[in-house]
Amino acid sequence: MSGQNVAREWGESPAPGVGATADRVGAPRWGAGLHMLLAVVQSQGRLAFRSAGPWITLATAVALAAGISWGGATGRIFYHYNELGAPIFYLLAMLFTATAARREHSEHVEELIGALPYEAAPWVLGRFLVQYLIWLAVSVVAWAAAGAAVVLSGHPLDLHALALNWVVVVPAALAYATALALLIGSLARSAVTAYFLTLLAWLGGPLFRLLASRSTVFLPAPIFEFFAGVRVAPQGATGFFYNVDLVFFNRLVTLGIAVAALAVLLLAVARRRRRVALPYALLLGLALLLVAGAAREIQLDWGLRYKTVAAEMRRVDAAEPWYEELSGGAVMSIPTYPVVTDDYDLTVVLSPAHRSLAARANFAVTNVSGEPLKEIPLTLRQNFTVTAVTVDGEPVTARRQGDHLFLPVPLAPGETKQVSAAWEGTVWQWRLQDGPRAAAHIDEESVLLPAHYGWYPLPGIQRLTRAVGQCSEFLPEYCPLTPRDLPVGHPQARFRIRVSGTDLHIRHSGDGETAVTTGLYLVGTPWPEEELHGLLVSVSPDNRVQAERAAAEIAGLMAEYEAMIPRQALGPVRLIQVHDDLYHGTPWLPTAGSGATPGSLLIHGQELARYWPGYFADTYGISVLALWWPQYGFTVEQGRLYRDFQRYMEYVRTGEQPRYPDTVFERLLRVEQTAGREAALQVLREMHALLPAGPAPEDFEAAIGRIMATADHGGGTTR
Amino acid sequence: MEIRLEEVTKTYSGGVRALDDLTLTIPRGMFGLLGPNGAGKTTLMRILVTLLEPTAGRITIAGIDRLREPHRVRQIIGYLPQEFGFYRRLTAREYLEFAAGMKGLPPAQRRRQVDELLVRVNLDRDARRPVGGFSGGMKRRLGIAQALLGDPRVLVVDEPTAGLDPEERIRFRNLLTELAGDRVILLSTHIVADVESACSALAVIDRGRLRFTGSPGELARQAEGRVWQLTVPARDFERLRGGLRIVGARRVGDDMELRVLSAENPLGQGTPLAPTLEDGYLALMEGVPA
Repeated sequence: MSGQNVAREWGESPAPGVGATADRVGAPRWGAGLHMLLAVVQSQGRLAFRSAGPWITLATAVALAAGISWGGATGRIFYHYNELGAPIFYLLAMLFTATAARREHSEHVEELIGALPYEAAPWVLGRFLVQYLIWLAVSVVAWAAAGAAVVLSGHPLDLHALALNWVVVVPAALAYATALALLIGSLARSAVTAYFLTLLAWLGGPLFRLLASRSTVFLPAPIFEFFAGVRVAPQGATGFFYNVDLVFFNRLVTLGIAVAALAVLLLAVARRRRRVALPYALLLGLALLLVAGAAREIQLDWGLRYKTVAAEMRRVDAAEPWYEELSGGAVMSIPTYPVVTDDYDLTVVLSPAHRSLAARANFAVTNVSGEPLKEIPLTLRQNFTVTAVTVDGEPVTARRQGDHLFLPVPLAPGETKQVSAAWEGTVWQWRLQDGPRAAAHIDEESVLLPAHYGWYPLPGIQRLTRAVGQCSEFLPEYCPLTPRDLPVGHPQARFRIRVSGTDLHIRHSGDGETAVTTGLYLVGTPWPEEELHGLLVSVSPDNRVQAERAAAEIAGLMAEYEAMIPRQALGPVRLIQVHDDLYHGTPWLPTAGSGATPGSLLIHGQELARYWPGYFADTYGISVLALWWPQYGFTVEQGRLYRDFQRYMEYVRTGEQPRYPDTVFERLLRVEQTAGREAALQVLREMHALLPAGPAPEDFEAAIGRIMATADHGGGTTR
Repeated sequence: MEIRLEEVTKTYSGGVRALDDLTLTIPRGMFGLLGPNGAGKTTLMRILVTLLEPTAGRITIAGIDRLREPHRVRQIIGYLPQEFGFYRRLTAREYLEFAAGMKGLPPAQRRRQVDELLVRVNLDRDARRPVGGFSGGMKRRLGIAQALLGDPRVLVVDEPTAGLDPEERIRFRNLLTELAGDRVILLSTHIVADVESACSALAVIDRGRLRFTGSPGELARQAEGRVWQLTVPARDFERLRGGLRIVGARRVGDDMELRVLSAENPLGQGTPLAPTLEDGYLALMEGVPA
């Protein structure tokens, strides 16, 4: 068969000339691109299914999903599978993806693509697409298994949470896991490096979560309301890894990265067998600093979160030995109810940023003991200070004993009295060393207060929760306890709740005005509401409110600066966003590369607050508000000038002199003292008119000379 | 239809100039590319098939501007590199289907061409075997098949017969000759015999520069009147090797029969021989001692 015959049989006649050739190849490129993409998808799919990775992952994920969800009472499968099972699935998926990419690398498949005149884009896209679709399919099966396990064990699904996870969490997390693992596998020079980097990337997932948890500001209001309105716990919306404390975990990750950097550095030095050069020494120093810093942070964190609480626990236990007597020696025999409460009217003000709570309550107390009582016993966690109490309108002084309050008013059997109380205090995150046992939960975003924390006066003598077995504050399915095992209780009562706070998005188990009975359910807990006792309030910052407030403050500040010195040369003052070091909120100095132009105004802290509202509550972030008048992008001399110009403007704005004034500031202050503030500002206006080139020190001196000469001739103003 | 290169230069980042102001026209038919290691042959081919960009110069391939329209060039070009990888877990058929897809062929056309080519390269009986189990020769044949996918108007082959046994070499040479028809086939090789028997024209490049272009006969004539046969006692061979440009030696009893390149009759005892392409190539590249 000749070449022409081959061509004929392949359905194309050989082109007689160049023109015909050009016609033949002039087919629509999108069509050819699609064929290429499909070819890659087909071949990569075949390769993937011939390897063991997806099958092992599928089996593991399904077993985990079904096992974790089975028998657990919950619509919270998003919480359990997503936070406990899915991370393992993601880890496996990332490892197998990286391994596959690494294997291709080692088998010189890149050479296949690199050595042949193929289009690279379909190959890269196709490879990603195949891996992504495979893991998506595995994920669907695993989630279906989790859902089936829940339904078969006789519990309802939380479809809203499922929807949220599938709209937000799963697609994004899979994209992260797949793309990063492919990249690592393709670039890593050895299998060990690939595994190590993959593990690091997996650990880095919480950073992704951190970002996502602050992303509600970007959601259109209806979507935000939809998700917020169905009481999806924050971690349900953003969960990517275990429900670990983010700050603590980030520090661990930082430590890990630092140690890894150190190891890589030492390895590089050892391999090169060279004398340690200056760059290596600097890097080494940096890594050591990171290690030391992260270790110190962790140590401080540990002390704050665990050690302090443990000490307090010991103190409380030592102070209340009479528990055993009251409860007849058996912890589970409490609570005792010499009184019951009813008609609760609660007003609560919460501030998660300060962990503070202030509340007032009116409620009825009835003696149900059958014996006359000399005092009315109530239970309120000792964190809270009672500021005022009245019984039937008469002020009384409550006697405090540990977590208990005794109101010095006698109460006959069956008698009812009306109590009003006000209290305030700080809410602790209550954890112990041996596990995440907690009775309240606080993080930078939210406060969750279950009844067993004792945040409002409970009836009678009850031992407040210090440790709820091995269970966390959310009392998930794997917790062996049931609500009835909680050592606090609450008889039927009618609650009316009003909760408020600054810029808070508030969810609670009542609707604010309507009277509700006990049996209010905890956010995200598996138990049917009728089984639970007491109130739960959940509060988190409303990102949009904060962003609006930040924007308003920024606009105000800009207006003030503009009023002082209008920018004519470069247009109005504008914001510049620069990077920060993520969790300390420490801004970096603006540079020309950050978009700063000479004389532009940087409101770093507030700008960050627009995207990361957590920083908004950071006092350092706020102090940054007006500190940066970028001196970079100028010459050094100009930078010095502008740094003091900014200091002077801040002085004008706030009335506070800088802590370390420089010569230029002193000169401006002298002009102000001699010729008036307007004269000093006039100097700055003249300097600003020299932008964008900016003024030189000589220009500054000349302007001062002119202004002062005018003042000497009677043209000056007074302050 | 032809390939035109005008003043093409390629300088790598380390400053190495792989191609230096190369101007060359490659006509339709089989065209050989000869040159020593490092001459720039592979660089030239990788530039033609769009895997590398030249530093300077102009290139047109079948009327298409290589630099402006690389996507169109990729659709009319087939390339068989000296070495490349395979997906070892794919079968031969699956691999060719993938390669056809990467050339943008629609599925129906893809299947037909793959069937044809598997027969053509004698792999139809092994089409369902994973490529990982193939011998070197089988892999090379599979590579040839992928280069022919899409009925390319231009075929660029780099050392295609390396690693093939003589029978396969001849078979492949014949296949190329058969395909030459109205195509441009650029054959780069160290094996001068492949060029001699298959190419109607050739070029020799050295250190990125064009040293010769013409027919194999013209290259052979570079050694016209300078090839001699000389028979000397075997014990003198070592002594003579330093002074003579010996391009072939054969032991005959106690004597050595030598093929020598020389402007003069060596030792006055030589018998003139007709030059081969290899003689011409050596004479061109290394010169002929007086």
